[in-house]
Amino acid sequence: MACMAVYALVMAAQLACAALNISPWPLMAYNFFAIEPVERARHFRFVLEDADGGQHELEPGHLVPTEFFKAAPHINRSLLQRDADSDRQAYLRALVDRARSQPWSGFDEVWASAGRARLDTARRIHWVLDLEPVDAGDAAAGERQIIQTAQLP
Amino acid sequence: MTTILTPAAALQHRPQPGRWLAERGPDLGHARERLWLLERLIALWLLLVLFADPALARLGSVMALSSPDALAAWSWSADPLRWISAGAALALLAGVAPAGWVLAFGVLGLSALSSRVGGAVWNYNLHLFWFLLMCRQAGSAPRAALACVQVSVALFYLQAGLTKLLASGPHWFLSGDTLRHYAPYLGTGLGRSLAAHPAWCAAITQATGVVEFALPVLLLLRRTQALSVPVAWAFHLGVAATFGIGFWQLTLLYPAVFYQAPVRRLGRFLRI
Repeated sequence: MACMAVYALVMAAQLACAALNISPWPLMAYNFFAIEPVERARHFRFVLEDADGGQHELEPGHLVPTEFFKAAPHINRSLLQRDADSDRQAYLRALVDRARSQPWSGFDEVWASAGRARLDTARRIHWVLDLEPVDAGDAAAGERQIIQTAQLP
Repeated sequence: MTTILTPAAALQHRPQPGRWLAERGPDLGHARERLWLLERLIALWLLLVLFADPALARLGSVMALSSPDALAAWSWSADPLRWISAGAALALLAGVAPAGWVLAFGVLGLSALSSRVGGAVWNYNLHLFWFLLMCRQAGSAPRAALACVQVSVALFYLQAGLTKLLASGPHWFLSGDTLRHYAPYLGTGLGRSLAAHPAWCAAITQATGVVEFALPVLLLLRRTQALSVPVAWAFHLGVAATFGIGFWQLTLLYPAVFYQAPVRRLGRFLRI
């Protein structure tokens, strides 16, 4: 019965977490998409730049082998942990190197790595934040902020 | 015709919550067998995730990703957390899982899988650990343990609805704005195309509200339980089609949690 009591306590705590919209481990609020809508969507992504200046956008889930919705927070956290610009560049290069040398296939919420051809032709990689208008007609409100750039070998 | 009740007989006509629950509450028949199946379904899920794609880095790589050097050096086969989790899952599957194994599975496997990635906490797989805790009660109080699992599934939907209601108010469900905002970013092809149709988005989020607030009740009433599970599956199928998030680590377990018949058939087949 002690086990049941613990279980009931956990469930009650989870309900409290839902009310507070927090998920402290090991509890979970199950607050999926419980987000206040905003005027402009925040969209983190990679931009690969070819030698001729051509640019291709790449979703973060294609360079980080984890669930696609965890990829951008993970990259931001990893970049934030590095003070030196050279370290941040090395991190971005490592992501590309891994996708090149150890490509992975998609499974469930993990997306497949970016195609080798796309990565091989890239000479620079940018980690950017796109502030995108929700309404397609409001094109003028879009804005791109470059967070980190790295040269690729 | 008028009859006269004795005080003792009159007492029997009092509302009895226990009896009401037994008659109209969740179906808890064959609880021990259902918990047995639940434990093995969880183990199968873990094995599938761990071994479905060896190139897929899900445990150690998540930590290694924070360091470029470790990222390059990480290998799937050398990841101890992965092997510990796999061992625990195999032990569960074989029915020889003592509490220690379950703990290793729960704490080591799922915490590494689900928490503290990129500074955010992702605990949405941890219900498996709590379910396993209840499966350990199959010997002593199977019906109560199964009821706990059923109630917690119902609570998940209530939590999902409640958090949306508290974060944005009824606007979240009525407007469809959140779907319209996030589908272009996180959605599948279908999700992105839906985002261009505000009326569809509003209809979908309204349906989401109905499901998330109705299922907690319908899943726990005997009369509606059997029908509620397909509704839940359809709901998750819709989310998977628009956002690529299937939540199958929960829905996979529903036949064991909510139905007797498949478990009875499986039991006959396995002669257990």
